[in-house]
Amino acid sequence: MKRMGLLLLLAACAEAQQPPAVDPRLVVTPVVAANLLLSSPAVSRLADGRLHVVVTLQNPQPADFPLRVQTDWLDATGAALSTAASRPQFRLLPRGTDTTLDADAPNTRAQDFRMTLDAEGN
Amino acid sequence: MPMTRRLLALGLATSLGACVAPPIPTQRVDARNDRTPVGLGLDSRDFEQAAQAMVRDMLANDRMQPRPDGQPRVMAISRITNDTTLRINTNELLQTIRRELSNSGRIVTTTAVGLDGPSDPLAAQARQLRQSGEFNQRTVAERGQMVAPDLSLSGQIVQRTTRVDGGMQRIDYSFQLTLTNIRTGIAVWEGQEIVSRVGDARAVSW
Repeated sequence: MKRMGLLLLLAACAEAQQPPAVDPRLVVTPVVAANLLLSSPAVSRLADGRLHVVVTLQNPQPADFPLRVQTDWLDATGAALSTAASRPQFRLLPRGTDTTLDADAPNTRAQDFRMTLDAEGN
Repeated sequence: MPMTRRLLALGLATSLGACVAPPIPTQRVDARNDRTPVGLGLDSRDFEQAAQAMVRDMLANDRMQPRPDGQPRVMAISRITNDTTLRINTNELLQTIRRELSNSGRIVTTTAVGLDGPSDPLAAQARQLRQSGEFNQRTVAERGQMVAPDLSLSGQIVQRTTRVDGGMQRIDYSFQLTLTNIRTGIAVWEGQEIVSRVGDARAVSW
């Protein structure tokens, strides 16, 4: 009986510690996951057919957070397109506020994306 | 006595060796994951960042649509002025812009027309082969094949240096570009990207 109770307790703990489901297209480093809250990416198409991605980040910390964002654009085969749009960008997320990140695909060959979020200088 | 001298020489050599700093090893830099320190001047990351932001803004502009026949607009490069203390080859900025616009399929760049003559004079020079009996004339460019530009890209890079508190200086580099419709002379797009640095006031950026 005691063993059963312990197992149930362990199972409950394991469930509570599971991280929230994150879109696989967002690659988030542990330091970002520990400090920021992320929305799922909203993906739409621009008038000219290119992909447009929006992600909202919340920085609930009492300090500004230096963020490094890199968006790789992938073609239909999953290969990354060579483009300046995949160069890292740096944003300083103000403390206690929401920030919207958005990215446009460089052309219509980009069918998918991978956005990597990391702390600058990490 | 000779032993003492030898010991003295050895001691001197050892102490001199200690004064020489160990060599800093040269490292390869991955441009896609460049986390090396920045200086007060501009480096390739700044040109990439500015070009990327301006191309994005250009492509988002409704007036940057392809021609009615579906062909991309043709852009010529006009004057880009470097108004900074840095020695800048403006191609560092322009090459990225040209490549990204070309890859977008919306705007291509002509190298046959430029402010100081064509950037690639061979396209015009190759027409002289029309008089040569050595060349198969079906492979020589015919008259009226070149496409005139619709758009002209001009601009400048401006620097502003200001002293700030704490013995620091702030340098703002402003990349300003304008796309003009050659037919009408009207600027159809104007963009500005600012790259800023704060650093020791005693440091120089050039």
